[in-house]
Amino acid sequence: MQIESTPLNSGALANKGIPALEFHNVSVAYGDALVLTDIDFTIPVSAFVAVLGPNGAGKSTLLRTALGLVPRCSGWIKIFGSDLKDVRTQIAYVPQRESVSWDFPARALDVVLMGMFHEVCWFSSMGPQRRNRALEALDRMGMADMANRPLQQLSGGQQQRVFLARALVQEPKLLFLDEPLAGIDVETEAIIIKTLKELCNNGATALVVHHDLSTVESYFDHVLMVNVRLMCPAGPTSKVFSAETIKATYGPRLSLLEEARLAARPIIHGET
Amino acid sequence: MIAETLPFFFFPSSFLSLSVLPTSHVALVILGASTIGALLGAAGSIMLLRREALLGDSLAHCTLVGVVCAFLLTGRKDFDVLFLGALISSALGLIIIKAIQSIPLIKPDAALAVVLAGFFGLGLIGLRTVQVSALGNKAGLDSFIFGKAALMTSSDVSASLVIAIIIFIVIFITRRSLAALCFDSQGLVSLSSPIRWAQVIVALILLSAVSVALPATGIILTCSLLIIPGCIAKFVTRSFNYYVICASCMGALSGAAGTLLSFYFENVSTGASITLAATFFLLLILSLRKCRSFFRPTPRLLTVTQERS
Repeated sequence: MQIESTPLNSGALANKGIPALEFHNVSVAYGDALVLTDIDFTIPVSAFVAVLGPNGAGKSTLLRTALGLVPRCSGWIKIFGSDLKDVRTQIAYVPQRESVSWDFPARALDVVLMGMFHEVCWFSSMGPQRRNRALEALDRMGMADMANRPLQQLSGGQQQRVFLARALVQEPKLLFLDEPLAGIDVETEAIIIKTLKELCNNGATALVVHHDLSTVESYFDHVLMVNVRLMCPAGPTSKVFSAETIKATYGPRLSLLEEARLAARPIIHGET
Repeated sequence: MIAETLPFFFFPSSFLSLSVLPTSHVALVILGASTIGALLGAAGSIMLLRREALLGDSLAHCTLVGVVCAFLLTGRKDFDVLFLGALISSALGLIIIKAIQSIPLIKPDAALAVVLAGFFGLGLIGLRTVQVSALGNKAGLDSFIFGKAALMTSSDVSASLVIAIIIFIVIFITRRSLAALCFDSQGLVSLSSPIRWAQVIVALILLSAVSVALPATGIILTCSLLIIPGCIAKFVTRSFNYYVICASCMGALSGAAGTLLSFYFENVSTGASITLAATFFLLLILSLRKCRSFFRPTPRLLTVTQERS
């Protein structure tokens, strides 16, 4: 329902073959240390992408580079065929939960309303219409009865759902989520994945930093493998997510894990 | 003479001192102290949320050298001279702190400590230079360390009022960007340019609040009024707007109560009594909370566990 209202029509873009996100020879360094070298990939519109890689591979850096939060040393990035600054309002970012101080004096609803701050003039109030939109987003995440709860009293999974609700009210065409499934319970994980899948079926594109290799195939239709030393293989899960690429991305130490995956035992967790 | 240096800024000061300001000295000092308290409470509460509470402390120490230099250069002790001196040196301190923090291997708190100590040492050397120099009119300059709120003049108070009003208008206009900046400075991509501006505005608010407060209230009081009202507000409120309002009210209340106390007990200095009043309010809030949870401890525990499951 959100697709028609904006000038950037995802369906039209997909027909024209313009990718949602395109990295070309992007390198990023922190000080002297190169974190990403010559990254090169394209993500098609309406893909649901798992960003995979070992700790320190630069997954978060990759997202933050796409968002312009980290300066890049070379290459270019196109989002829907344009520069970041032209499509800012189409993008939502869900940072790692720990990056935020949750003792901030606000209710869950206030955080969701933050997603709509850019729509309102400084002197006007948010209005009942936007409030309802925020409540709807919270309801979609199964948090409707928590709307007036102070942030300090929310559990980790509830905080994550509030964060995702804030991304939802922005009606994004492109979503970046940094480890949304870290340290949350099964129920919350199911809600988050269901909501994201719905968004992607409606034409949005989502990149999710993910650690649990056992669920990649059931959740995501695309994968993007990140490793400091390698070109990033990116593409549909069925093609790219193979034993060889996993071994190449995570190194030989992970062969155990990979064997376990091939044996289809869903007990593995990505952190090593 | 204020109107000569900063005409656009201080234009209303002569008008204010004529019509609005109270004529009695006690009322004037109470007004001045509560204005400064409100200003520092608001600025400090924002810094507290950004986890940079000690930045205000460092900047307050940085102002001493600027105040002394301004006095050495002009030979005057007027509000406008001292305000500009304090503003310039604290801005310089802020720039150096940010530069040091960008060096890897030096933690942010170490950068704060380095700049605080360095600038304060410089300021003390300058203060000594002034005291042994042949300059006239130098009496009372050392009160910048502990403050001399009781000696505020009507032009000091009116200038503080004008600056406070400007800062509160700026806070009102940018309240949403400030909230977004304090909670999550990077998560809102669509709001990234207002947030970048909000960072500059927060720095300007803090610098001008500290510089306004310092000539009247001294370094120590400035630090305490930056931090304590925000702490009180955090216990009382559950929304960002009310949090800032509550912090500035608590700052103003501490300023007024402290001034009254110091006039009542003649030998207590104003700065110290304002600080003590603020601390008293914090302890009061803490003990009230304790009492409340003492009277109904079980239901609260129950609800938390039920809802978390």
